[in-house]
Amino acid sequence: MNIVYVLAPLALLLGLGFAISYIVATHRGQFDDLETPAHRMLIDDEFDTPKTPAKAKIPAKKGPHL
Amino acid sequence: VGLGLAAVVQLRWDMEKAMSLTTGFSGDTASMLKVCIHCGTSFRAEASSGERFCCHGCEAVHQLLTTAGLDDYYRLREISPPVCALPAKVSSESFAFCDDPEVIRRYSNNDREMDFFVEGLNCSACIWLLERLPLLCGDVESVEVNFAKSTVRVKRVSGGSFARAAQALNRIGYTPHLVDESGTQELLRKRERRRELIRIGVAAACTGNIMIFSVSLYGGADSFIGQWFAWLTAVLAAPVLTYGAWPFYRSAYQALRARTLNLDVPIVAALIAGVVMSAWSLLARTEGAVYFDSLSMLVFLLLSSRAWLKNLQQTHLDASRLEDSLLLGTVERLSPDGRTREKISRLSLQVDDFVAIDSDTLIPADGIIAHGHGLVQMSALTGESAPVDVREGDVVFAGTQNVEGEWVLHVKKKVSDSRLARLLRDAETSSREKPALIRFADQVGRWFVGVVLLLALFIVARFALTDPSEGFSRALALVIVTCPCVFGMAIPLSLSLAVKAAARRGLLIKNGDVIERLAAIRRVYFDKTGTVTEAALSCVGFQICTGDLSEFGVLRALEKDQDHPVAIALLRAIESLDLPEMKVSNVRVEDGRLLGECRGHEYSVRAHGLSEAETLRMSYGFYREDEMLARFDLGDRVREDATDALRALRARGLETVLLSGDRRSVVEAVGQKLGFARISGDIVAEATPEDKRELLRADGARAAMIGDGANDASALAAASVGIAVRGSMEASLRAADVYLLKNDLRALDDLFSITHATRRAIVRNLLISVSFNVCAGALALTGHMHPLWAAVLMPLSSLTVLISSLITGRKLETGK
Repeated sequence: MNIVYVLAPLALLLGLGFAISYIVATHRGQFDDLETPAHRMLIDDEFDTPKTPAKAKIPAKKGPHL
Repeated sequence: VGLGLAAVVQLRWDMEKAMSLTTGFSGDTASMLKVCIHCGTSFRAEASSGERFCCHGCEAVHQLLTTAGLDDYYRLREISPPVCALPAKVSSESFAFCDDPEVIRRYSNNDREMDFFVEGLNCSACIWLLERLPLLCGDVESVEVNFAKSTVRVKRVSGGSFARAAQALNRIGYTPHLVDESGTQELLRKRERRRELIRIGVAAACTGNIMIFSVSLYGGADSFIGQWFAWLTAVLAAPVLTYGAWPFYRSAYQALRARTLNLDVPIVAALIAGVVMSAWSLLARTEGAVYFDSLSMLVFLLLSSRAWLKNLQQTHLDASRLEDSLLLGTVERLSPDGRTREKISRLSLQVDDFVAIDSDTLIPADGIIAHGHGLVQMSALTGESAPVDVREGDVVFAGTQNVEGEWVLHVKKKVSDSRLARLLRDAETSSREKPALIRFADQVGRWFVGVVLLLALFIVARFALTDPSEGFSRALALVIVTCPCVFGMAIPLSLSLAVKAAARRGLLIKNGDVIERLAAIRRVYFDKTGTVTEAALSCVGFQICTGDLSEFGVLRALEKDQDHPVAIALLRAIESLDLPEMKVSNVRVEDGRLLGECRGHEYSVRAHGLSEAETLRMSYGFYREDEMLARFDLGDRVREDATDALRALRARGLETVLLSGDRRSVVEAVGQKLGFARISGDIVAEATPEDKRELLRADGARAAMIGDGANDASALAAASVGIAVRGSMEASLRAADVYLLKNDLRALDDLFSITHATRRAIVRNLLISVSFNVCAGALALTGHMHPLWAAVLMPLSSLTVLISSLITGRKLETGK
């Protein structure tokens, strides 16, 4: 039963860790746009290669805007 | 061709008959329905013509995408439904104003990024295509799409032009509009949303961890560990009950200070009562229950359901965020000596400036013609579809269109003071006054809250002397279990889901209130020009007097490069004929006549005066020297979908009225074709915008108006529900409540069926919620419900109502 004295604080620490990382992610704008990425991931990679090599400047797939 | 023929060929055709006859002439097969490969709209074309597009816009966009290697767009669209099917709308605006320093200062983000609202962003393939804009336009470094808001953030390469980027967006069929996304208001909104998310996250984390400890408490932890765990739940609940529940405290405080009640008052009462009770049993080490877990859960559930609802409502188009279409645009200002022209934004136009107006441009401000003359389409203000001759000294108004001629405008009023701007402003103010179901729901909610609080006080008072803790526990159960969430959440949810379902079917609804107002509509007013008839002048009949078909080749060659509305109508009338290519030289316009030479003869097109049937607008003759070869009657053609839409609405028992600013004879002719009865006042003609507005105001909540977003702005706003079918979206949604994306009136019937289904769902939810609250409230009062059970049942009842709304919403979206 004494293990509770270790496990309970551990659980709390774990929870705290997740809460902090969530707050940081929110501040970085991870959750500003919840719809577009859901659509973007539907597009297969094969569509990413442009047929004309001319001035192939594909926008970098980056995270949401800060 | 002998003169004798003239007497023989005297036929008068209806347009449809002419089509079928002429196809017989060229020995061709009949026309058939085809599907446009760009937008998927079906259109009518000859089977053998090889036509693959419904319009030039679609053809141009398709060609552009194929040459840029972006034709994967079509493949992608096939595999990622829903397919967006709208004909490409390419605006003629040059977007040069986007490079105006004043505009860049106001709308760009660090000078590099600009946000545009784009029309036509509907599916994943659109996102893919828009984010590959740099392949089409060298000025763009990257594009980021926000699907929910329908906006794109364009980042330019250093030294790149925003105007060219906007042009590129326009060229691929997404009409861009500047939006002020980088402004302070948007920034505040974003911050607010992030704060909300963090609040929910903290509440969720704490509540989750509280559960670990309370489960063992319920499981019967021994007294030492039990005591510890109870304290731990209190510590973990502290941030939820202070920081997390802060919005409830604030809102309840504000309501009490204003001496009213809102839904947050009983929530706060329950929270405080629960905290006091739990703290007491914790400190006094009594055997009483500790409620920190259920209180945190309550806060978390309320916070997240409210945020979800708010998000659902905010993703819909917020018309006020679209900037004024009048202010944004490019004009060519003349220097005082009249020698040089400079392109400036309309925003910077001043009184007494001189502006060069070319043919086919929008007049930017109210003013007087300094010199030159032209032909102006006044339909934006009067509804009259035929253009009017204007010359030196005439007054012209902003928002009207110069279709022909070049002249100089002497600006007399700033753009924001023009007659059209005033009408639009008026429209905006009246669109803000809203009779709302939500206001009613709030009121009922307040009564509900008041009654619950009184009952709780009563039960506490009743047990005050005999068993205070029993009275307290019953009151707490009552306050927690009775939830007016049907008023606070289910009704707004049903309304927003209806808005979403309508958007899927091409109906943009400004907000949920419109659904409620639509239910009260008994009479529907239709505008004529552009609503029940084609917007452009079209040929409704022609008569061949003499000559053979080959001479129509001359006519086509003459009209080919003219952009006059008459030329466009004539070309459309003869486009299906199999005509020989002819060479015409010396094409010129003299005193309203179009002249050209071919095979030694002089051919001309000129007005023939009003035709005998007075309902037609005007008649044009095609002449060789002075001999008339053919006569064309131009007028309004009734739209096919209008007939169907009117039939459907009348079948629903709605009254229909035709309302127009056009001449009485014209309006009556159109009205009779569409089955409007003249005697019972179903046709109103020669109405000014002000007349229309008064008429609709007088009808109050019963009347809906369907019209052109620009022409009828004030009437649309005055109507209980204004429905815009044409015109630019931003101008339309300023005044109207509904905008038809597809320009197909048949969608109106969908609008009414969505309204009725939503209304039924709301009534059902009210019944569920009232019966639940009465039963649960009675149980709590009689002491048959423990406060803990109340905390479990409350979210369950809310869920039932929310799920019931969601099911209806889903049904509406998939179309039953």
